[in-house]
Amino acid sequence: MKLYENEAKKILKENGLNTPGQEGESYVVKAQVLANHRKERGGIKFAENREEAEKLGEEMKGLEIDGQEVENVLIESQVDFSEEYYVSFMYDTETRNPVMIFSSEGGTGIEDRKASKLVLEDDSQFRFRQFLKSQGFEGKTIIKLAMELQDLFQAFLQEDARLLEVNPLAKTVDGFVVLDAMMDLEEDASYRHDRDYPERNAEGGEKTDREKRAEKIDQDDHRGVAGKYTELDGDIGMMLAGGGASLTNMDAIIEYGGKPANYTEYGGNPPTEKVYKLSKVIMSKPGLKGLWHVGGTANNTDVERTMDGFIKALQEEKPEYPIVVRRDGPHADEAFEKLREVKEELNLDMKLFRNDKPMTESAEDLMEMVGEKQ
Amino acid sequence: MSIFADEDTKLLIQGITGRAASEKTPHMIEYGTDVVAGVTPGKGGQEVAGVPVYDTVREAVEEHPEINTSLIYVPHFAAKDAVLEALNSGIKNINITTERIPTRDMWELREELEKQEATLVGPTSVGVISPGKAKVGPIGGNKAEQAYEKGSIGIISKSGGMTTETAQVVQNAGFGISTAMDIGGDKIAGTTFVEALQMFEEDNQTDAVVIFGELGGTYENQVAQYLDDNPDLDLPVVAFITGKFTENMPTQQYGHAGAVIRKGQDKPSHKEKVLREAGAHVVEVHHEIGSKLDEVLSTE
Repeated sequence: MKLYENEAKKILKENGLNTPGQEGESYVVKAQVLANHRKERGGIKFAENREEAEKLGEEMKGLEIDGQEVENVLIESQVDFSEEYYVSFMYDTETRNPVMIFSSEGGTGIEDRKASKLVLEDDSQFRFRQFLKSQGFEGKTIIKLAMELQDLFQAFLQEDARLLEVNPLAKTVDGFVVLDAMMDLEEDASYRHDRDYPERNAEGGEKTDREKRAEKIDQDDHRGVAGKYTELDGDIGMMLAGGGASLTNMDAIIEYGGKPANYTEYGGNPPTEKVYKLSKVIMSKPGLKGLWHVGGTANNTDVERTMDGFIKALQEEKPEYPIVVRRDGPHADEAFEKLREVKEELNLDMKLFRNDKPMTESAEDLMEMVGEKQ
Repeated sequence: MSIFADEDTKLLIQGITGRAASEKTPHMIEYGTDVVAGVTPGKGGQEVAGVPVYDTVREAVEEHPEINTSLIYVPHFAAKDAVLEALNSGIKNINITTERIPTRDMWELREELEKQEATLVGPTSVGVISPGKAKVGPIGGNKAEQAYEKGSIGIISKSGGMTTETAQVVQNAGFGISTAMDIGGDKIAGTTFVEALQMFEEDNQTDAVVIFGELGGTYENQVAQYLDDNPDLDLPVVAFITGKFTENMPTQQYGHAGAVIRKGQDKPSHKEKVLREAGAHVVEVHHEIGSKLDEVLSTE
């Protein structure tokens, strides 16, 4: 879960790190949105006094930054500093260890400056001293900054973060201060943390009605997954089963010249009703030119039970565009018998395939049918 | 031969009394896997599909010293401890079915695994199957003998469902499978593509290896590097990378670390490019794996 700056700072403070105070001589007002480059987007403003800060904060609320509406602002005292560093921690597949990325020139524009990577086999302090020495740091800064980086790394580990980014970490006369922080917490580890953050829409942007309808499918019933639905620009309805297979089939339809109308993914043996609702969402997008219901050979998902939902939607929508179904797995015999019946009953332009037809090859079949219809 | 699972596999299942594990255990036994014992703390003395259950791994290994492989089927919060328990009893081959294990736990396990020179496949792995010999994990379900035919092609996949689907396109082209291994798609993999490829190199039953990769991480890129470093490698690699369409989807940046460290190397198109440059046979559409194998092996 991606945290807002104020949430990340609260966690870091609990881990013994310094963050700016609430009172001071001058203030900074910051929009709490999950976005980069807030300053350029009007999400960071400076004020001479508390009153002005609060006024700026009120003006900032309701602003849209990177597709997200500003609901909260953070008002902090401005901090005088002599140096600003960029520091982040994340896991790295290259070495299968956490790594620190560091730049002695932090602040805005960091993506265009040089940053160095330190592989962390454990949280020993000497690793940070060695690293800082190699970066040209001298004297006491080596010790103090190493302690600060170690504290940050330990917070990253302790809090089960996927990402901790501090930009900048400011060097002040009173020590180091976290001026801005981003933190992405691993939800898989939430069982060992006592956390209760409000829901957030990290994707940003307005959701379409169909996306909202799909979202509700999983909220109302937790058996299996059938509520992921992202609307795209194309006109081929995509009813996709299985994670890896869904990605593979999206690539395949594009390869054969199709333009997907949506992305979705169902699995985990969802009940009939959920598959029905998802099918309705997909079929309700105007202007469809074809529909592809495709998945691998299921291990767990009951093909009859899920196909029942799809068939019910077909009976209601009676699509005139071409349809290809390719699916196999438990009770597929029964499911395909029912598909053949509905095809005949409604006179659908529909081709049916089991697993003797390669999954991605059936994309070509659909695109041929779509081509013939034009 | 084959890799990880074979006729000599003596399997322990940790978490055997759980709902999923107790349902999948008979499938493994029916397939021919020698499931010798199970462990669930507090449930010692019970049986699952005729397999005796013990409270601890130590007890299971004392009673069944032939155990050489463990399948971890415990909840995600107990997984790290279960792996340490298996290692503590000297088990060197471990496969984790469990999903959603915290990354930190996997990182902490990695050091111990290296120290003990143990092999861990997973987490989030549907398992490993060597057709005609044994299967470890739910791979292929209760119809594994239909889904997997014995042969000479090795499969290494990041996706469980697509492991079986990949076997199918291989078989449609007239080949069979030596071993199919789902390494899982987690950030920290117990076994990477390169490590699995190295196992296949040692296996005289395997004539070519198919890699099913995806977006994210750099394990696929490591294969390219490995091929570059080992020009004499006598094992053709056919690769398919899924998720290309995601490169054209709008994304939102949260922080700069990803951009600084990855520089786009985790994108499917980049992976395809480096693999191709390194001499791997990259296909654009999944079912082309079959014809590509045919082409590669007939010109050998």
